Amino acid sequence: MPLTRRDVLRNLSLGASGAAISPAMLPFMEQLRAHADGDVSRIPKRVVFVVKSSGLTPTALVPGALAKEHVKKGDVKKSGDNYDLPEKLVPAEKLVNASLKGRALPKTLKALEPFKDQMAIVQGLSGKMCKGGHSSWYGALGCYRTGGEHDTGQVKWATIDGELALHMPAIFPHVGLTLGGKVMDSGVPIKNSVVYPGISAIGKDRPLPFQGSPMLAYKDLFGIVASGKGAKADVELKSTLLDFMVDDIKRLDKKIGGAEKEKLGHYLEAFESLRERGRRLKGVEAQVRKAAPVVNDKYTSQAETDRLEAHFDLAAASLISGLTNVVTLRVDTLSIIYKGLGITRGVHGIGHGETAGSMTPGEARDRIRRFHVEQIARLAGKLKRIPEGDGTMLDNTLIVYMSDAAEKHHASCIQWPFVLVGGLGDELKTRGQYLQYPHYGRKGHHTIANLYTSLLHAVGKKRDTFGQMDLNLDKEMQKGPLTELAG
Amino acid sequence: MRYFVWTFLIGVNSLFAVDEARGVNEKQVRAFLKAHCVKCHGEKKQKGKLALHQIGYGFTDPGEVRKWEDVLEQLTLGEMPPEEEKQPSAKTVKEIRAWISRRLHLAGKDPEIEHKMKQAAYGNLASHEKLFDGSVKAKSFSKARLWRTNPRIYDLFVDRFGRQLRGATAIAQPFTIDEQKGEVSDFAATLYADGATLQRLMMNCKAIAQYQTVGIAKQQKDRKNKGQFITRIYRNTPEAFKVILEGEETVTKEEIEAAVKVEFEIVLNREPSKEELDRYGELLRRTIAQGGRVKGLQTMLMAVLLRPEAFYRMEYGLGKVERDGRRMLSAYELAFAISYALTDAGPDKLMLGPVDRRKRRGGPSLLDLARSGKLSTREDVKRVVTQIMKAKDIDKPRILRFFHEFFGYSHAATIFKGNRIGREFNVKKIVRDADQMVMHIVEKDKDVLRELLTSDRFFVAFPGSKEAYQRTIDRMMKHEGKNKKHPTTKYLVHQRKKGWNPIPEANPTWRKYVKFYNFEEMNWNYPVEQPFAMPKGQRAGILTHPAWLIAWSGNFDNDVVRRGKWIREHLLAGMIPEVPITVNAAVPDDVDKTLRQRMEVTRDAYCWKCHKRMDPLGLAFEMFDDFGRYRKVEQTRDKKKHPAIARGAIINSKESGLDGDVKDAIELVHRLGGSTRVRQSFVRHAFRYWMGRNEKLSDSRTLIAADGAYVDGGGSFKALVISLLTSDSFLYRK
Repeated sequence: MPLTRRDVLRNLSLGASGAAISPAMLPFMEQLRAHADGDVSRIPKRVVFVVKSSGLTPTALVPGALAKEHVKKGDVKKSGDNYDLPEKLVPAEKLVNASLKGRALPKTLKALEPFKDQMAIVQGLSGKMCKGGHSSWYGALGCYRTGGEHDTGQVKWATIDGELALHMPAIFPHVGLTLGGKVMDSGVPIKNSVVYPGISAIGKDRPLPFQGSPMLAYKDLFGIVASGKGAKADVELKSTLLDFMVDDIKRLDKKIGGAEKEKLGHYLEAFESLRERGRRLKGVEAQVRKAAPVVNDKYTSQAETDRLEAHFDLAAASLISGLTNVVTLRVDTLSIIYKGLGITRGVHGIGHGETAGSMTPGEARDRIRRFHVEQIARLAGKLKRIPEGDGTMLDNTLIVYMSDAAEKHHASCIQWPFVLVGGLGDELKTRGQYLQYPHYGRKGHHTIANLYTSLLHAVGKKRDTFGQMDLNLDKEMQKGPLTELAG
Repeated sequence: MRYFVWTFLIGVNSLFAVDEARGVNEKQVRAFLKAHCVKCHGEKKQKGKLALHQIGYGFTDPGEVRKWEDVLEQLTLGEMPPEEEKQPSAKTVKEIRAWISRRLHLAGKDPEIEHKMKQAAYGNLASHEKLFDGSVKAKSFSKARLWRTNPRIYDLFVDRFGRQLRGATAIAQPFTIDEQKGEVSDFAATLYADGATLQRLMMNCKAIAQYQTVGIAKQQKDRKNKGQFITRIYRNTPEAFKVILEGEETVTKEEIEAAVKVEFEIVLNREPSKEELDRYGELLRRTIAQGGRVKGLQTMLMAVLLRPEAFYRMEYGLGKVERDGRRMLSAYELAFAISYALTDAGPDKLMLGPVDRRKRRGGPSLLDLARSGKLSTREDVKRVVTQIMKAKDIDKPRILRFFHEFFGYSHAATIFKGNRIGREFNVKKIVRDADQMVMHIVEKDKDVLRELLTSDRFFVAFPGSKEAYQRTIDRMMKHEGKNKKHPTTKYLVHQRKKGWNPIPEANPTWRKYVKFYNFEEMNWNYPVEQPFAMPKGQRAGILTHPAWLIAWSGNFDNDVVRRGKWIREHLLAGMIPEVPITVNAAVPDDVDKTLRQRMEVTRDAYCWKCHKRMDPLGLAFEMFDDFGRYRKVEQTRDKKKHPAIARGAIINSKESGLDGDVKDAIELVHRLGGSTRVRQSFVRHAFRYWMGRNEKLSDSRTLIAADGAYVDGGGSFKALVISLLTSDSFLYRK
């Protein structure tokens, strides 16, 4: 049962369960006001994308009781370039809409048992408008074909996380956190820098940045907490500096034209948003201070798993404090080696069927997925403990666990599995369902664009389609939201 | 010597040419279409299924907008009207293009062609024939522009505040560059600083301002007292700042101006203008009043550090104005342009004076030359660039980087081969070998491209000189020689018995990497003189170097398509359309078929239209495996062996005598090495790299001159670079 608001205020350390973040944090002031005056429409909606590289395979998401019917043995002899999975999802002729109630979740998703009635496993969607292979780059969230083997390709338009960020603006419109750079980059010193992994964008030619270092992400998001309290002079100086810079750039801006003006515009916009952010942060400083995570050694750890935990803590805290409504967590790339989980082989090797120490590739994949799912469960748990409206923050926050390259290591994008946890108020609900849509091209088939259209509808941005159409599919089946998830 | 006065944008109206057509209206556009287009795209004929006689002018209907995009694309590329038809003037085409572009933008449509023209990967969109046939008479120029800094330049920029800064605090890299294999990455049009950049910059600037004032305190181990920690202050404070920080009286106008001047000089390499001096002075006075001397000064320093000019190279063209409106870069702009064309350091660090006894080059710096009026004319630029190009002691990292970006071989390390190979697969060494080969040919500066494409003289595990070789062998003897069971000792003994030179590599595993050149560690007399001729018929040039072959291979196989695409786009100045969105391109993985057999899926007529321009080129490299080893047999996944067939062909090269079958990659690269089109294509890529943008038809003169300089110099790469850096495209802005 959720805590009352008063409980939350009174006891800030309740149920911390070893996490670096205090879970009982105050939601954004706006939400409190909305809560107080009962105006549900003002409660913000939030979306968290957890995007994995190779390894989120369809069969791993089928509950045991349904496996007999929906999973078959693959052609295990094949190996190498197009390494096939030992198990395959049986293509569905009709929509499978089974309740998870009374069914044990598959091993990979065990940590989500407490949220079984507030989640959905979505299978059978295709994404063949995207490039297959190691990664669909911006296509995975943007529904279009772009990029090559190593290059991200052109950003044609905003990806779904960028689109949502534009529609649900917050102090930080989008927070991107990552373990790595581009999908196959190796040896990139990302731990202390911003990277553009090539999966998210806020508009044409506007890729979204991701922070590799939890410590620097903390400074970006919760810098206000680090600064001394009441240092009025500091605030004044910063404000003077930002005003001066805006003026300085505008002077330059008047003298230039064409595309170069646009470049300077980006920089000016950055200053203006920093200035605006400073103003808005002042108003919510107390809340942000309360919500800020406690920095620990995981923030600077060499172990990927530690840094990922820190990233999830940052994600939770930025949502709870109302700093952002959209987070994308790039939870691994092909170059990551999960030493913290005892896996000695990189995600790429596992994807090609290499054994990882004592683990088979299947076991290693499962171990990595379970770690991600545990983090998702931890995040969901924190959100569920915060009351909001008539329910909890989780009712208004959707966590989307997905792959950036559909169904397998060298994907063909014919089956794109998703795990959804939480919801988007009354507009999008997960009711403890296992949904498997009819296979590619069959009647009732849908694409990932339909799922993204569902998200847009839920946040009030009603439109027929999202992204590029798959020209080999009937147009109608690619239009509109997925009715099974409607509120 | 007085600094020259910087007239930074003062009293100058817009220096940036905005493509605004003046006097072109809808009526004229209608007349243009009628005169030049509807004959083939009208009521009677609809070539390419395009009809323009009834095109709407509302720019609302999506189909109509697409047609206008098509028209804009054809006019931009110079493809239409066809050569045999009456040609409109260049001015008219420009105005019509501007009109269409503006209408498309107003309709909320960002024309695709304008986007593509900015990307290096689409550089070949400009007609090769028109670029080199001499028909374009227009004078070349680049548009006035802001060119964002790159991570390498920024690293050296940070160093100018003092060596200990990085020791005191972490300086994160705010700038990223998306390196794409085989493409120029540092492109002026595509790089900008956004919010994420600013956040990093702010943090860095704060640290730098602190380091320049009160210093950064750091806890560290006390060397004198073990187990004890002491606090050390790291700082590098200019005198002008100390006066303000330590003074007790009211800060004077002179002190304020001195501080502003010092920071401008350190960060921007120039004096502030009068207006800037006033404005930054006023800022400093205000911030001292708000936050005291220390924080006040730090805030002013941050303001200088955060100026766009600190990380955007500003190329307005503030020099001499030509009658036709083109403006030459000023001496100051030229100093930066030349410096960053060849090095990563700023022009104040690029020394051009005599070399002293310690072999260190002294002043004047390139910036000094600019300030003393010795960098104002094309001749000045030529003299300086020639000096830099010829001076062996001046480090020019941008030269080798060009070849990295052009050939893409330095990306070999990013290719995942998993557990198919052991640790002897030392890609770094292979890339280093390729670097040595490239730089050796560049240094010789004779027939550079042909040599790069065809030379059979390779470097393998070469430590740089005979002396270095001997030192390495001595070290191996000394260390490993003590232990008779050590594999290196056994190896040295084995080689001595045979009377062979050993490979100068102490690590037994890494020594085995020579197998990627088909040498066996224990069965090879290491050539001390390098480069050396490879076994006959096995290798010729960089495209047969394991580094290139690995970089352009897949996880399990050779990458026939991308190898072919590379040759088509980098050597034959061609373009391959994007994969249609209905196509799911994948090579089937039948275990009993060779790659050549599996590639037959592309022979389907629909696929072959494009694949014939790639696959026959790529298939010639089937004489190597995907680790770059020469082979006579290919093993399929069912372990059966088949003869390795390396037959290939050049199809539709647009050069007479170049097309035709080749028996293998060796024949292919030799034929390419002698081609004019290949040479010109190479010149185009060099242009892109050094101008930081794609070539336009108006760059034709620059390209022809650069190609001529290369040929006249006997295939001199240096002459090519000097020609580019003294061209109108480099020197002029509009």
